[in-house]
Amino acid sequence: MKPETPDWYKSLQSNPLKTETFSHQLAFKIKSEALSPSIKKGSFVRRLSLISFSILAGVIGLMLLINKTEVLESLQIDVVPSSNSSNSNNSPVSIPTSAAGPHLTQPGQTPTDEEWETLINKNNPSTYKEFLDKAQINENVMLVFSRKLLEYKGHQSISVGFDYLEWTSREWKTSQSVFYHMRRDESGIFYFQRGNNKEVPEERLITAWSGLDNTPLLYGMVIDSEISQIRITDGKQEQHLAKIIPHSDGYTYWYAEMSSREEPYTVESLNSEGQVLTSDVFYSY
Amino acid sequence: MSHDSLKHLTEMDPLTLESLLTRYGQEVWNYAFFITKNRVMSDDITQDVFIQVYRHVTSFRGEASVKTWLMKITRNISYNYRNSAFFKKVFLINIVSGEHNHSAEQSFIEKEATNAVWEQVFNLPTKYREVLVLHAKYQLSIKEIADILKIPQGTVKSRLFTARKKMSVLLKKEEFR
Repeated sequence: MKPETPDWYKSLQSNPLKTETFSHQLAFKIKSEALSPSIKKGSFVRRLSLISFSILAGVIGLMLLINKTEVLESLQIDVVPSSNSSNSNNSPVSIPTSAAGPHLTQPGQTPTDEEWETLINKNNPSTYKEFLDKAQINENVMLVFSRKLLEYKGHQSISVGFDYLEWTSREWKTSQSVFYHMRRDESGIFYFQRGNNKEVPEERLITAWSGLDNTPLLYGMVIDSEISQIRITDGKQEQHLAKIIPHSDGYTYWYAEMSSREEPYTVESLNSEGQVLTSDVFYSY
Repeated sequence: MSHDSLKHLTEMDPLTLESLLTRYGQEVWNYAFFITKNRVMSDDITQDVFIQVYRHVTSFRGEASVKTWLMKITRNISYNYRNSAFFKKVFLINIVSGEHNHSAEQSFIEKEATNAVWEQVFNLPTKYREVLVLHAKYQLSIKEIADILKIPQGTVKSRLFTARKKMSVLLKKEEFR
């Protein structure tokens, strides 16, 4: 039996508020933010990359004909910068050239950590990503956790995040990536940028949440040195421990990749005695 | 423009984003406002929703309508904001005391609500307000609402029943005011 809808239902067909709330200004802001190059690279960049790569392939082919002995050496130096569409002058980029060898494109071989670092920097060496850790999702997908040091609004900031690399039958390629900014002010306080350019000071644990493909990700930075463990409880009440990565820069980073979406995620930081220091609830998108 | 083709996209183009903003921008904002009752936060949530959608269009599998998909994302992000330390610290006065206190946002709703029915909808507790709005305003089916709220269909029905009952009481009170 389907109950009849009350008369007052039709009053709810109108907008709830008299004033326009989703303004053109807000729509413009969203578009600008979404299309910002730091968030998403346009297809133009990809096309340019493809053209650069094609030209390089042609040059390599020519070199093969001229002198076989010079080929490998050329590949070691040139392969990585050529894939960077913004770097048209072929100048060397600041990445370890030893890791940029042709073996990265051979199936059945897992790249070393240094090689993963090279791969994640292939398309954007201007903001160098430093490898922190990796997590294999399956034999064709690897998540690489890294950090970037940036100048942001006149202050130094740290970004942490992931590259989602897929094996494309010929090579490992970043298909998606996500990074979060954390600004540090003069007094050493970290600010976590969330949502609409709002910054929140954080003194204990910075948690960012996102998802790449179907993999929910929780990650960030440990500020409070008392924190020795981060525990995540998913919607099914299953507990997961985050990986904590102390770095030589003095900061400690952390992440946890969830195998499937089981929201909400309760993120708790604990001290060495197992006492809960902070607790927050997150949903993936 | 039909957005069914979204499920085939691996990357969203600016025109599709524009079209989604035009078609669903206000609805997303409204839904965020129904949950948070806070304008500033609803702006932020709307922005987050469309940026997430733009970045992760591949998460749309076409199993539900685009509207349901957007509502689901909006809800998750809204609850993230509600549950975050940021929300608790900054919006403590407006929200935590929200349902009963006469906050600035409550005055805004009283002044700006399109009609008396909407005004009373905002007086409902969140869990009833949400289910009623999804049903009456967004005209989603019980199944779609259950999917968005991640609760059984029976719970949706019972919440809807209670929400309507509460609304009848509130509207009657309003009549005698």
